[in-house]
Amino acid sequence: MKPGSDRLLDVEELTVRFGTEDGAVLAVDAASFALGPGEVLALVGESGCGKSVTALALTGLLPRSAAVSGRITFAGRNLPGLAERELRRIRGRDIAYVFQEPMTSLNPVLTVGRQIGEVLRRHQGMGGSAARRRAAELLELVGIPLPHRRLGEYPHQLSGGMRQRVMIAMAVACRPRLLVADEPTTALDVTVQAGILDVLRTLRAEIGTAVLLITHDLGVVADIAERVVVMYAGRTIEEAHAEALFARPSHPYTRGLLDAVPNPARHADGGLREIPGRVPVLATSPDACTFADRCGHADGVCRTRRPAFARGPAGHLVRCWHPLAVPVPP
Amino acid sequence: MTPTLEIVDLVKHFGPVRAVDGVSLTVGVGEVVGLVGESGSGKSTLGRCVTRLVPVTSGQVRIRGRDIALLSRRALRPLRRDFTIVFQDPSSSLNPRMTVGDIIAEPLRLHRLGSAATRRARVIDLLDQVGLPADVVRRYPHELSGGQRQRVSLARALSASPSLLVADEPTSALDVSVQASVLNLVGRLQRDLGFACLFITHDLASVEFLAQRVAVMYLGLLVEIADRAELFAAPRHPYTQALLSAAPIPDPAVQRARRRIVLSGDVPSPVDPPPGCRFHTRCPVAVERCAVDVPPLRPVGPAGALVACHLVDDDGTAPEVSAAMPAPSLGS
Repeated sequence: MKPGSDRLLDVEELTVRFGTEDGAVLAVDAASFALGPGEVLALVGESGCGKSVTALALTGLLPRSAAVSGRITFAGRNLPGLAERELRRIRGRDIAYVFQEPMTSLNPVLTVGRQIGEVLRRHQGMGGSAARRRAAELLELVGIPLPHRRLGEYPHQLSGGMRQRVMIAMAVACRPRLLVADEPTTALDVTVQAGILDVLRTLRAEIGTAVLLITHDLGVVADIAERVVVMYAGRTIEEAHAEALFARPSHPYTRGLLDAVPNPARHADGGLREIPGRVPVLATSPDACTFADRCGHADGVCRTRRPAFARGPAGHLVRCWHPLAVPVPP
Repeated sequence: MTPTLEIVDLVKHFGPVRAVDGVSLTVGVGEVVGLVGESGSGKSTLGRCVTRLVPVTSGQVRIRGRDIALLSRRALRPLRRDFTIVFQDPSSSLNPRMTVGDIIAEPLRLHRLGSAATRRARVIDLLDQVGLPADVVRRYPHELSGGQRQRVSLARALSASPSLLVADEPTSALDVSVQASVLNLVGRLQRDLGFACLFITHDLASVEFLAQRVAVMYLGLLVEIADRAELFAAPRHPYTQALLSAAPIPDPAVQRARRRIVLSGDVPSPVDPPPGCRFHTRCPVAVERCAVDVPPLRPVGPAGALVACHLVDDDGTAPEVSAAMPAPSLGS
């Protein structure tokens, strides 16, 4: 990450707690990361690691039962300090979201053109015909053929991939500086996913949008992310450039995750490596490494002291008392 | 040797929807065949026809030589212990009011296999085989994690020692690290117990890991069947090429150097599939003939692969679809 003022988004010590009937849950535990303008950063982890909660917390989209603390600086402004009215202006105009399931985010009784037009009228004060023209341009930008015809169609008339393209078109209607994409291709087939990832690349090239990509899919990360932050049990545990992370993971959990995924480019004769045990659900932040119980490298320190998120031997940020050695090239 | 499963010209229509439209596929004794396709390809319907969870429109489903496609439910019942299915979401396929022990013993009870005591012993044995501690017998499904529930489904499916297991996306609902352990488990059980397996999935990587042969389905038809190594090294059908190309490799150094095939358009409706080759509307290398003549699934090349494409020669030479794609304009 480039220093200081180059940052578009700076998240410091973000902590999110939920009060539930079964007691408190610590969903995000002092997560820190930053994003530069036009950068594609992937936030990676398995279910329950806190990646989606982090994404929602950025612009205050969590329910009232969530207690959020920490600093979230976006373009020089501290977001948690803003009034809801001001946050609403930022959402949609400067920070836009795309979620996994487009059908639940689109209004089924409004045409595609009407829904995109709504965004343009609301945030950019465009008139009807200008909004319609711009909506068609946006559909073209996200790779929808015959955009003028599509404007008059309803969401149910579109395929899953087309709906997700419409969602992205709406999200980028105001040329946001940050697009938060939460598992945007998880519900889609791979041939459709390839097209959506191309759309994200196009947006970056054409309007310079930075992308915070929330995903569990390491293939998607390998395809599109420049930098990767790995989360585990609410904590950020490793951060590095994508190539470096895949080639030289420093955290044993990252290593475990990479080894667990079957890779068609190299057949796993001896079986896939498994990570024993389960992800813990925590009420409070323990004075320990949260991965210690599942880690082959853990010792007394790991179980009694909380590791800091610090520069490790491979140059990655890593939260581990015993980061993995950098492999010696043959 | 009679194959464990022989599907011959199987057709399943739901009203006007031609979900499966004439599929023939064989799974040998102790063989794992991966059936790959995207949503709407008909792969899950095929799995349901094979296990007779839905009535078959026409064709044959021979299990160890006996055609069960059109048998009455009554005639089918005693044969059911020989073929079973596990599904994607174990939480909806396990009865929430039954204990794990009762769930696993149910097939044995229904088929009147063994005494109560031997069934109990069998359940403990099965739990051990799927890597669960014996004390889960008295637990209920909701007390278990997703991965543990899928292990219970497998134990139930295998309790009556079937010769065929149909696995329909058994790992798709699971987290990455849990997926690995379930894939390893399916592989180990299959090697230890020797059942034949039709492994249905959209995930090419898990097929590459588990299957000996792979069948690729598109819009109700098989377009290619080949040995695993051959299919992944040199896919021949343009759709197979596109599918492999679209599945990202979890390694940026490899993934970013690939020339990708991005298909245009959507999968057409199975109500009114395109004439000729069903893939021709999205095929980057289609020629005029592809829109007219239906390409038969025919043997090509020296290793016995089957491909349904006019553009693949009898010696197995196939068009290189990525060469027909525009070079990436926005490299990263």
